[in-house]
Amino acid sequence: MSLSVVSTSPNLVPQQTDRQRVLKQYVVLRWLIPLALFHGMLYLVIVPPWQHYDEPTQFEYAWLIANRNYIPTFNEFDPQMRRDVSSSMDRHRFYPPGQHPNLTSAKPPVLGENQRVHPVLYYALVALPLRLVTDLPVDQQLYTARALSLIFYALTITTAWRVVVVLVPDEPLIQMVAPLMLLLTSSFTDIMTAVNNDVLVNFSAAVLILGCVLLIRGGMHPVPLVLATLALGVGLGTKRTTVILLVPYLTTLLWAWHRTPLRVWIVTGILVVGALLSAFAGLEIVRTTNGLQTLALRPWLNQLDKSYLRLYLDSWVRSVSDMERANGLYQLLLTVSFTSFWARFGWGNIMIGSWADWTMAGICIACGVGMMIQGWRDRGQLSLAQRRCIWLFLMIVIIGCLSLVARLHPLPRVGIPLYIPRGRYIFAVMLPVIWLIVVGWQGLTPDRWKPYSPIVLLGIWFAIDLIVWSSTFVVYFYGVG
Amino acid sequence: MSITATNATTRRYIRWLTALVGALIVTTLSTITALDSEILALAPTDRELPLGKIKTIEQTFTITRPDLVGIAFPIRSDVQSAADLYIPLHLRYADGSPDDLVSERLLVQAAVDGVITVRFAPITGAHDSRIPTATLKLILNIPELQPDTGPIFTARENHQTQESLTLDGRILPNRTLVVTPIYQRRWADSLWPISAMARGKPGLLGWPPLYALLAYTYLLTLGVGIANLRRAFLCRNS
Repeated sequence: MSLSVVSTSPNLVPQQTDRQRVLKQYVVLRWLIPLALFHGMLYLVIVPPWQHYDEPTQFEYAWLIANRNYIPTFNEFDPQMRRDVSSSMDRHRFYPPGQHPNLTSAKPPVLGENQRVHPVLYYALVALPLRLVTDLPVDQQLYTARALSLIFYALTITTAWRVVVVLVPDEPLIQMVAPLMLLLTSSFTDIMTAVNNDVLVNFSAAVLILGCVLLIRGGMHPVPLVLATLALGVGLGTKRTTVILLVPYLTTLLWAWHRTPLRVWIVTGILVVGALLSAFAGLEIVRTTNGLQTLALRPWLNQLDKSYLRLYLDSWVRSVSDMERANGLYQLLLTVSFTSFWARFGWGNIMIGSWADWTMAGICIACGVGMMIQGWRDRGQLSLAQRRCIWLFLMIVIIGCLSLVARLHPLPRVGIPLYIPRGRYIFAVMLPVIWLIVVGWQGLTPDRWKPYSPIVLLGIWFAIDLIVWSSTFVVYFYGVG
Repeated sequence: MSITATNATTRRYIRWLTALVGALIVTTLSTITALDSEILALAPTDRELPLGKIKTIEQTFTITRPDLVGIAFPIRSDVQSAADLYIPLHLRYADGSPDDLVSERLLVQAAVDGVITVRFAPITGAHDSRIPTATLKLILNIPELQPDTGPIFTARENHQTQESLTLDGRILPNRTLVVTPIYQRRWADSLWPISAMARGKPGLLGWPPLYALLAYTYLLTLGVGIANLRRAFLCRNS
């Protein structure tokens, strides 16, 4: 695989050639976008209503905005709407066999975890199409909201294609394989066709990555800068999990501004100064009631933590340092987050067997090794921008994983159930993961088989996608009649 | 326009036309349905049940599949005495809401070969379709007739089932009215559960052929994608 960047054409004729080539590249979208739409539509209709993570309450948030024209408070709800949704959930087999919600009770049924802790942006967007269908049955309103997610899914696949074109402009096969792999990643498609604010987070992450890649390749230009900044803003206005993308964004700005290799001592210096400045800005020394001095959050950070991050940073620090208790949980976190990242669907209730977990683990480990081989083999051939893009993607993936560890804390008191974060919280890193797998897979393959390797990888993804479909059918439909 | 360009345009039209014809075939095939019902054979233990002087007949029966689209009863009638006789019929869940799933009037004269059939829109067997069975209650409100006159239904001795026959509020133990459920079976369901996917969904999403059409369109687009991948593969290796 060649990672060469597009050279600037020195005269008019090559410029025309470049333009023609760029236009020719876009021809792919004539089938890629319809394919994304039809594939997404299949997931949209296969998974019955309300059968995605928190879908009833995610929908409720948007429904309240659409029907009341203001941002609802945390405890606000519409009793009739809850009854309608509960009745629909019952009709669509949401509850365990034999269990039915009490629709005649004065107190309407609870739909699930209240989602009004999240910023309003995504829900305000979903409310726009919902306003047009307020008179229709609640199921139809749900499908309207899911249709908006479908559009974001198709846009994400298109963005992924553009990212790969920027990364490998002379590799038409890879340019198709990587976005197709993202398209066929079942867990990703599943969440991207649900009513869930993760949809907008994942889309904005893909756009941010496109902006970053363009900035790294072409330097500080207004269009990619605005693109990346806007995408980050949208992500932050959608869900706190986007905070992890601040680091790659800032790193990209540094790399776009400073386009020559940085010396090690400069990097170290920046990291140390950055850490000190962050500590100074976010922490202060306070005196406790017993007269001791200790570190505490500054009021602004405490306020941000309470209203947005919800990391409970004070107790978080104590929890992380409790190694004895936390160590045993990291293995569980790894298992749950990894399997739900690749091979859990619906509300996490659809599994396709442990073989899928092991297959994905094997592919990830093998591709990790392959990436090291590829990195070592091509170390002299890659341009600075190409190396930085790979580092950027690695950085995003590592920060994503660390964010899951961070989310595990603070650990609850003994006896209180512990929530293990699911892989969906870091679907924003799916595109970098897919790209690194493609690179690693190429690194694993001997030269003579290299032309076939992307096709084989794509075949594996397609096969898993088909198996997921059949598993979903078995769970939801073949049990009937 | 050159001959090559004309050929390319023609080929493109043929491809579109083929795709459209394929879509039509898929839609047609997925709308084909067949009816499944047991044969109404009379048994030696069957007893006649004249409707004269009976006001209401209630019969519970269990359905074991989704898409119940009709019921059939054996009926015997004297054409003259049953001329223009309508029997109101109601069908509802035995253990659920008292709302009617079906409310029809049986025209006794409409019986064919001694069997009267009522057809209605598909009924999904259960409130919860993971429980594949459901018990329905059939209620017949008989118009006023002279004793031992009018049409004759058939009651069967049955010790095995939980089904019960009630005449004017009085339960007849070990007897059931002979009723045969008629189910609808969609041919395409043996390939893809499109009826189950459409069941209970609103509007266009409740139309089973949509799912077959969607799968077809996806496979078609996938085919185009594979062709483009092949082209890129050959281009890379040329």
